[in-house]
Amino acid sequence: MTAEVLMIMGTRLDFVLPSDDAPQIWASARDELVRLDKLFNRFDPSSDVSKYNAGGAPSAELADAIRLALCYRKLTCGLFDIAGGGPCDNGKDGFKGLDFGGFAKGYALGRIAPMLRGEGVRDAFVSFGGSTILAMGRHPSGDSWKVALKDPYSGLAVEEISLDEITLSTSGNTPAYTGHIVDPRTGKGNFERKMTTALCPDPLDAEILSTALMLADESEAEIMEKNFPNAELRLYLL
Amino acid sequence: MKTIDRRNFFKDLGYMTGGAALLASMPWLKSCTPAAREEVAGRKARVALIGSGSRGQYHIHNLKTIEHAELVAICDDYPVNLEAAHALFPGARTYSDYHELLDQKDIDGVIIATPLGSHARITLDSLAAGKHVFCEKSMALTLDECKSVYDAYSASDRALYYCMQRMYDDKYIKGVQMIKDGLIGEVTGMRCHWFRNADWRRPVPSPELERKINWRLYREHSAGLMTELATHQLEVCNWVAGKMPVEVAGLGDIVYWKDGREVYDSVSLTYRYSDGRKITYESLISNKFNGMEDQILGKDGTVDLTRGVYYLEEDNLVPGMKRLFGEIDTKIFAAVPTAGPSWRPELKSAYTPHPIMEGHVAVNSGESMVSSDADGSDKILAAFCTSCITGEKAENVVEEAYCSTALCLLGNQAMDERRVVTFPEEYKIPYMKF
Repeated sequence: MTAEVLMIMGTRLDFVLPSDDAPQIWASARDELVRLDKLFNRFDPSSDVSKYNAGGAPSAELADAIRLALCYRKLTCGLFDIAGGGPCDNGKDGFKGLDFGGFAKGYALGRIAPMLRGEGVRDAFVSFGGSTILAMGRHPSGDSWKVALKDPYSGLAVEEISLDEITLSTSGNTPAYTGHIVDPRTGKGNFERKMTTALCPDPLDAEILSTALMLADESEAEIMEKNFPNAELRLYLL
Repeated sequence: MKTIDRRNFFKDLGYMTGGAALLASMPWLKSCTPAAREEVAGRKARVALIGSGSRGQYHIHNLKTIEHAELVAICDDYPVNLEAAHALFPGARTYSDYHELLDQKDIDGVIIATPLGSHARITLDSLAAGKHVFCEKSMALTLDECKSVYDAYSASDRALYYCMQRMYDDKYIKGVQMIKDGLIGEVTGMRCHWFRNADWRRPVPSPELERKINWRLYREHSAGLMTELATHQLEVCNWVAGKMPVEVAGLGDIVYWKDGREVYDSVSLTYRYSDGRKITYESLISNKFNGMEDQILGKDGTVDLTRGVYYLEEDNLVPGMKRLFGEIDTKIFAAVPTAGPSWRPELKSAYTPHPIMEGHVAVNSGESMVSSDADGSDKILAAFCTSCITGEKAENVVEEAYCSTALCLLGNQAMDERRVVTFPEEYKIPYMKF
């Protein structure tokens, strides 16, 4: 088994391959993650996005990512918006540049998955801080990967979810960290006691939809479901 | 989009919706369900108070807020307290001899708030008179008395409550439930303390009343800090552990208040369970810096039930992932508790407190000698009044009181005799697991 941990993109990445012959695969995956962090991390002044936010020209890949994010903005009724303002370091609203939080982790998993497949990896469990989990193949002793979704307020499991060639993304407020999802329409953080999940074959879809769903009303959620027919969306009122 | 509403799950602590599991593990809460409340609606428990000092008067205030309660009589052999209590509730008849009160047919239940030394005698007389009984903690002054009361209660069809109010305190109920659901992993130890900086005295109008009024300080009436304070905390430890310690060692002294008192003003004890887990207990009443805390220590976190908060050793994510690694190795396929909103590294060296419950949580500083707000005393008294009407006993309340009182008294014995005291066979009851 290969079990690796990397502190990156503001959280902890767990990378689990049940097969034994994976050190080289992890090295390539790690290099890619470090490269993407350098692209999207707005807290790193030397990243592509920081340079762009400071008035520089975007790199080619950043320009592609911006175009992609604009498509997602349309498909999520404007709720997912990298230009919508994000929380500052201290958690308060007010950041004005582009913020790829709620995008980068899904984007990274979307890059890692084909890399793994290209290397012949069938089974893998890759988790970004528990909030975006890519599950390929199955647990060596099961028919899928199975996770328990936890209510951050009570610490109790609210549901068990089987993951099979899919990404589970979870968004929400927690007792220690709330108001971090900023509504682009108002510029204000969302402080509601709730949690959302999106299950999608595409990791980036999953991450964006779980975030957008935190801000969506029922009709907006319906529109998103129409726009992403492969997505399974859930809202938990906690 | 599928919406899952979990907000009502623990509303009012899940006494109703989804509360079946809670009621199974905490059966004494059955009298707090909407069904039980409906059963007593429009009916009145006719209760009397025996012992009308500060704690008795506090119960009068609570009784006034309980719709299904009617205070019909008050009894005290100290006229000053009797008059003060009567002024709070002039409609009640007054008695100076509790035997006379027990003869009254219009009384369903009695509330005993007298010094510890008289708990057993008045409780036994009240049960014998056919009354339901609510008695202040602790159960009694000696283990023999505890056993007599327990045996009498077991043979009786009357309800008996001891004011173990933490069993009815929202944050304790929910906190213990979360611990049992694995919030902090395996419980590895417990650490409780109660610190105050006060002499524990009441003003005495004339010297011959010293022992009557300051009964807490004298061994003929009181077992000191253990039965007045520790009893609540040791009860919580047993509730969490689901078993009883097998032995206790400790040291007790009169360190500061050398005013003729006979009970310790400083105690430090260690209770040990058969599996090696320990309760570390400390109480000192000449320094209040540490306040009162009931800490449950687990492999993955700590719950401070007193404040209604918990702390995690590492975020839940890490134990979840560790479990996954272990299960791949051991070929176990189970749901890994790892999914949830973004985990962020805690960069502070300090732990982050997480609330057990939403909204305002009443926290008892432990400084008052009488009571604190919303600590469960009102709920357990209401539950007793319900029992006076329905005749139903409260499951486990007497047993928990017996267990914690026994531990307090054995702790005193260990301190007095300066030796490790093993739980004596003759005082074991079927409820106890060791």
